[in-house]
Amino acid sequence: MRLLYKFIYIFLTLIVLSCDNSIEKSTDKSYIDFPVKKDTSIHYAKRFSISENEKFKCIYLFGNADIKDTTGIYIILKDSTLNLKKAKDEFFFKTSCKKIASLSSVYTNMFCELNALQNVSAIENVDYYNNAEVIEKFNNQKLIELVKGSEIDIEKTIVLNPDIIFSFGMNGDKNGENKKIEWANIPTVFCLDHLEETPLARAEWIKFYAAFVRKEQLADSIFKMIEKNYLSLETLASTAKTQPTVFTEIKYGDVWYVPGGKSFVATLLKDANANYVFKDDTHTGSLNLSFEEVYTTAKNADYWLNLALVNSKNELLSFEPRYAEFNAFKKGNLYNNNKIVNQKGYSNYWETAIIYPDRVLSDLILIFHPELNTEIKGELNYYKKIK
Amino acid sequence: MFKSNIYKFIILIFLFTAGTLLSLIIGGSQPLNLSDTATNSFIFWQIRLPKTITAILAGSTLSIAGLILQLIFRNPLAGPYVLGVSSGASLFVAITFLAGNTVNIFSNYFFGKSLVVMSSIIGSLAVTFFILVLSKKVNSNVILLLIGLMLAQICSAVQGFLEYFADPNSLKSFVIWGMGSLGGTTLNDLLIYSPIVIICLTAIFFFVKPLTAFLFGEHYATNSGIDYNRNRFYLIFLSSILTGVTTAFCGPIAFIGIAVPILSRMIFVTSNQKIHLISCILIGSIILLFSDVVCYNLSKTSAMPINMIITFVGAPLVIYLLFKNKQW
Repeated sequence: MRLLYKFIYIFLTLIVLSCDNSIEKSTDKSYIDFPVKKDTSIHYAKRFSISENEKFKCIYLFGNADIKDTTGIYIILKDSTLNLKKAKDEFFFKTSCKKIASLSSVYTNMFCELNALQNVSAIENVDYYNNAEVIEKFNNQKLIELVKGSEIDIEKTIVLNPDIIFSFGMNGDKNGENKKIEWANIPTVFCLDHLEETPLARAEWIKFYAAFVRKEQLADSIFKMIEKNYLSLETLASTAKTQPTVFTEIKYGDVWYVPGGKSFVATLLKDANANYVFKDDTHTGSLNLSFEEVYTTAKNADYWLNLALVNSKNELLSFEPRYAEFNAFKKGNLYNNNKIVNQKGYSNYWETAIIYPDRVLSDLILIFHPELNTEIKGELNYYKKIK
Repeated sequence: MFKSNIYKFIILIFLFTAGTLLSLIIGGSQPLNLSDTATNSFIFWQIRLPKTITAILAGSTLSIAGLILQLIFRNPLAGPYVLGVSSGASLFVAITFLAGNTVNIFSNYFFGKSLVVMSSIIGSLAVTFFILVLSKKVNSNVILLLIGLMLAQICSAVQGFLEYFADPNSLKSFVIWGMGSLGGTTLNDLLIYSPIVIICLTAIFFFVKPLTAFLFGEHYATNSGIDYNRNRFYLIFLSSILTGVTTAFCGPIAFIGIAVPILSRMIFVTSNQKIHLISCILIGSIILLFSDVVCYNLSKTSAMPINMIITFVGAPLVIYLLFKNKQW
């Protein structure tokens, strides 16, 4: 009987201990009760905002369907002894996040640019990376992979117990993984940078990630440099005397997915003073078109960009021999964003082009306006000519 | 009876002609505009015409392959998709695309899509003969169909395994192929596709007597003086080539192989398999031609996936006919 009492005592003690969470200890005051000052340095990004006072920093994430919806509030406590009342969709962090699971190569590269790779403990899949620092850290077993297949490894994630997970906010919660992670009390940020409409807005998300690792000043200086470069390149492109016509992508099955007229790619093309053949479209996402539709609109276009993983004209024709009928193919004006690829064939474009749109713009100007070569003085960063 | 069959064939030929014309005239996202002759000429000759011919060839081949399998296995549920024949073809194409450099080097010695065609035919032959070997040991057609379904699952699992470890370049090529499309075939592809189909279909018409005998079982066929095993071998060989070649050019296409022979037997109540061979060619083509027209006219700019449309167009039709013709 005494043994049973002992067992019950230990069991109840364990339950009480397991319920203790110093961060979420309830107090009467919520973060709303403290006045905060909005960070006015965020000019382009519309899907997040930052406010702060001397005690904490609030990072707000705005929703999928309506930009006015706040889908997450992340509060970084500057004073680690401060206890605030927690409501749904609010997450509290002590000073900064030191154990991050970054489930996209874009976010991981942002942390690298912020000299905060030491704060990253897990990535999605090392196969997608060209970044030597990330690969070395993985080879030294200081990084683990959480999404080797199509789904996140829940058990591995729970055992790792990261301070925060940065995940791609697009695929939804098909198999309930997000719910399981939520039950495990691991804060997850579903990043919405892909919903931003301009390249500079997407690049400005570096300030979002910087707030979690307290590298705000470095983020500001990186972004200022990118912004300055981008705007000066845009001005330079506007001086070009020609405006070549451009189209992008290849078809899959019967469908040709092209970027909408208000998309990230369309904006880059416009800023490079090129005439995107679908520029009059009003979508920010992609359009599903038929071969006939694209052929009719783009047959006379001067340039053809972003040809999936294609490396040669012959390879392109092996997918679809009728591609040879496009004027851009006949003129040899084919450029693909896979100049640098890793052993698995993944291009570094998908890692860093979002962070450095100025480099992409520089490439596009070099491609479309070779007469401006002397002004840019550089070679292509992401693109190569397909021969 | 003979007269009524003629009327039915006249209606089918009318629908076939209408489907062909509609596919050529409105089976695309762009209206044919007489002012821009160069663009229209390219769209008509290089895009629409090959697509329409592909719809006819794919509809005919899959329907005939389904009819042969249903007669040999004496089961209306048999078809290239159900028995795993299409999955076998897909798996071997996946091996071709995803196996890496050895096969890629080998592929340089082949013209156009001929390596894919060969792989696809070998895959469909492998699965069909495996099922045939098992059919010697298993008496129940239901169990045989279940084995076919399991084989299809195994092929899909192996394919998934290959895709998991494939590099993105090879995977992309395979994904593009596997989406199932009538519009991916060019006039050059038809130079390989059409002769194979015409030769196989012509050859199958020489097997009308054995096919009719198969309807009544192995004993009946043997007593009629037909070499059951040899004829079965030839017919399975031909049906596998038809399935393989169509899968190679169009990707896996569902529904046609199983549904069209059922429709044919509902429309023509006869044991004369020559009638069913002709009607399968017509009905299979009609379904694919109209599905193609629907594909391009549901949305003004983009094409809907053909497999989805075929099932939407065909499945309710079969259910309706099954209810209407309850004695079947």
